[in-house]
Amino acid sequence: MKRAYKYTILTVLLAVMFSLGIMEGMNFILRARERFLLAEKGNAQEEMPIQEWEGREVNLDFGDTKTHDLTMEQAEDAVKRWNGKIAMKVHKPAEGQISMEEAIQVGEGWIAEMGLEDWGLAEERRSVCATLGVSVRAGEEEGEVPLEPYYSFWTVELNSKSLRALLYVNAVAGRVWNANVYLYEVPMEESRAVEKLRKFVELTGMKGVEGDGVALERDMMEYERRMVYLGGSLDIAGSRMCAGLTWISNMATPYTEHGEKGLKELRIGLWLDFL
Amino acid sequence: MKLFHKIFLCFVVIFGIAFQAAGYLLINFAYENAIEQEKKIAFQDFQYNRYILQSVLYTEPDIFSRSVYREADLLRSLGNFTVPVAINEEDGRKTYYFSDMAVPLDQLDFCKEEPKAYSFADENAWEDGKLSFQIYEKEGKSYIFVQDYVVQDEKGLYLTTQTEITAAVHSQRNMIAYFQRIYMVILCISFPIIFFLTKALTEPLKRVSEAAGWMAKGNYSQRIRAEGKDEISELASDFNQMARQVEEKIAELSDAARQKEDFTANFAHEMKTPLTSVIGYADMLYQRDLPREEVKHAAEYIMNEGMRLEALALKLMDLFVLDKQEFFLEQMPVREIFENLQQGIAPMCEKFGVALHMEMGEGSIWADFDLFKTMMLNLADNALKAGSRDLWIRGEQRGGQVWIEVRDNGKGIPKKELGRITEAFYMVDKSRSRQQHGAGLGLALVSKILEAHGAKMEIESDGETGTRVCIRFCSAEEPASYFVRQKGGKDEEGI
Repeated sequence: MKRAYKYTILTVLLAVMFSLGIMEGMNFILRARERFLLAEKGNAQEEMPIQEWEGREVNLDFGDTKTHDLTMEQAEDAVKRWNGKIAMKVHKPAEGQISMEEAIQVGEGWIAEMGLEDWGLAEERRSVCATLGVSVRAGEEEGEVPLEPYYSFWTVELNSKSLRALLYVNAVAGRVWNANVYLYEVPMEESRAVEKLRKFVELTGMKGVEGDGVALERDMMEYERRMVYLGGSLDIAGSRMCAGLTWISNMATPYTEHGEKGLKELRIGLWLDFL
Repeated sequence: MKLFHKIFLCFVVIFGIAFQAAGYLLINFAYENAIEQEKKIAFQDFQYNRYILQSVLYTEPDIFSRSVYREADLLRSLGNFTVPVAINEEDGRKTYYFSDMAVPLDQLDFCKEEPKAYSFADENAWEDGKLSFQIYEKEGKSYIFVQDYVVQDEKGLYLTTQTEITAAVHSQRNMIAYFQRIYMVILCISFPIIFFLTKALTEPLKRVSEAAGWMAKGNYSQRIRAEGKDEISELASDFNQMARQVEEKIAELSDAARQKEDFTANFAHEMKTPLTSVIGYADMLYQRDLPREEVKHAAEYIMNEGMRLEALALKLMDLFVLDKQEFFLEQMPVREIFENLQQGIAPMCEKFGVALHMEMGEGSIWADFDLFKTMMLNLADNALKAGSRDLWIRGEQRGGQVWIEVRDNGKGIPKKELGRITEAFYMVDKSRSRQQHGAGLGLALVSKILEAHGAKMEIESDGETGTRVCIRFCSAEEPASYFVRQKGGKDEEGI
C-alpha cells in the first residue's frame, strides 16, 4: 500500500511539474515572439484605397484647376456615402482628384463667393489645413476593393481671427458639398439665409432648383446661450437630393467655443442630403 | 506504476501540449493582427500629419528657413499636429520636435534605401509610395515611428511621427496572462476529476487481477461481476468463461485422476484377492499331503480363480484396445446383426435356463460388428448372472434413431447404484460377482463401446424386479458424415 501511495504522489508531482514547465516554456516563447514583433522595422507601401478616375467630363470652371463633372447618380452616391460614413481613411490624391493646393484654393474661393465676411485671405488668415480622406463603412476597413475616386472629400479648415470654416470639397468635382462656418463678431442678417442657401446650391454645381422660395423654420432656443435657430431646405431638380441650411446665431453668449467671453457667434451649416 | 497513473500522466502531457500550442497559435495570430492594425493607424496618423505639414508649407513656405524664427510662430502654425512629430531638413542640421517625442531621432534606425536623386523639376520624383517605419520599446512603452520625405513647393523635409501602441501591447500581455490563468484553473479542476475517473475506469482490471490471484491459489470458483458492454466488461466475461472452463477441466482431471487411482486400487485388489487364495492353496498342496478330496477342492479353487484372472485380463485388454485403436464403422441392417448374435446368446440362455425373446424391426446402423457383439454379449451375460428367468431383446427404428432394448426380470440394480455401475471394477454384489468369475468390468466395456459408436445408454431398474437397458443408435439412413470417430476421444456429433 505504501508503494502505491508513493507512485501516486510521484505521478501528481510529475504532472504538476510538467504543467508548470510547459506554461513557463510557452510564456518564454511568447515573450520572445513579442520581442521580435516589437523590434520590427522596414518599409511599407502606402495604402491607396482609391482607384483612378475613369470619367471623361472635365470642368474648367475654376481656372486651371482640372475638375470633372460627375453624373447626378455619381453625385448622389458620393453624398450618400459621405453622410453615412463611420470613419475616414486619409490617403494621397489619386489620378483625377484635385491636389491639396487646389482644394485650399477651392475653399478660399468658396468663402469669397459666399460673401460670408470681409475676410482677407492673405492678411488675416491664421492657419489653413487640408486633408484628403475617403469615407469608410463597416467591413471596408481592410481595403478589399479600391473605391471610386469621387467618394473622397478634402476637409479644408480655414482659420482666421473672425472665421473658422470646415469645408468638405469633393475630390473629383472640386466643389464644396458640405460646410460648417463659424463667424465671430461679424454682422449677418437672417434675411440673407435664403440667399446663402441658393448660392451654396449654385456653387455645388448641381443643375437647377425647384421652387421660388425656401421654407424656413424659425425657432428661439432658450438655452443658456439664447440661440436663434433657422433651418430650411431647397430641392434640387432631377435629383433625390436637397440642400439644407441651419443658421444659429447667439444673441448673447457668455462663452464661445474659443473660450472668449461675450462674443456673438454665428454658425452656418450647409450640406447636401436626401429627401 | 499503475495503469491509471500512466493514463493520468498521458492526459496531462497531451492536454498541456495541445492547450498551450493552441493558445500560442491564437495569441500569436491576435498579436500579429493587433500590430498590423496599430501600424495602419500609425500610417494614417502619418498621412494626416503630413497634410498638416504640407498645408503649413503651402501657406508659409519659409517658416523653417527664416533666419530668425520665433518658437511661438512655429507652435502657432504647427500646433495642429495630432501626434508627436519631428521635422528635420534634408541636411539634418536641425530637428524640430513637437509634443515631446519619446525617443530622439538619432536613436532610431529606419531602413535606409539607396539615396533618392530628387529633382524638383519633376515634383513626383520623390514619391515612391513607401513609408519607413520602426517599432520601438522604451521604458515599458511601445511606439511606432513612421518617416518619409515630404515635399511642398520645392521645399523638402523629413517628417517623423510617433504613434503610441502601449495599450495594444498591454492588452496582448493581459490576454496571455488571462490565458495562463484559465489554463491553471482548468488544470486544477480537471486534475482530480481525471485522476479519480481513470482510477474508477481501471478498477475492474484490479478485480480481474484479484480473481486471477485467487485462481492461482486454487480457488477456481471465483467470478467477476461483468456490467456494461465495454472492453473491460468483455474481459471480465471472458475471464469468467475461462474460469468456468478451468474449473470444469480441473474437476474432470480430478475425476480422471480419482478414477485412475480407483482403477489401480481396484485392479490391484482384484489381482491380489485371487492370487492370495491361489498362493494359499498352492502352498497348502506343497506343504502337506492332503487327501484326494481336499486336493481336488484346492485344485478346483485354484482353477476358478485362474479363470477369473484370465477373464479379468481379457476384459482389461479390450478396454485398453478401445482407447487406443481406431474403428471404422459399417452400415449394417439391425435384423442381420441380431440374427448372427442369436447364435451366440441362445446357448448362454440355454445354459442358465433363461428364455430368450428376440424381436428386431427394420433399420440399419453404423457399427463395428465385433464390438457390437461384445457389447450385446456383456449385457446378456449381466442379465443371466442376475438370476433372470426371461431375457427380452428388442430393436426398432424411431425417427432418425434405432432403439435397442435389453430387459430382464432378474434381481435388478438398486437405484442408488445406477450412477456408478459403468465404472471399472465397480460391483453391486462383490461376492456374487466373484463367484461368477466377474470383475466388475462388463458395463465399463459396454460404455466404452457405445462411446465409440456415438450411441447413448440408459439403465432403469428398481433393484427388485429386473433391469431395463435402452440403447439409442443413430440410424444409418442419416448422412455418413454425421458419424465421426475420433481416436481416443468422444465423437464430435452423437445422438
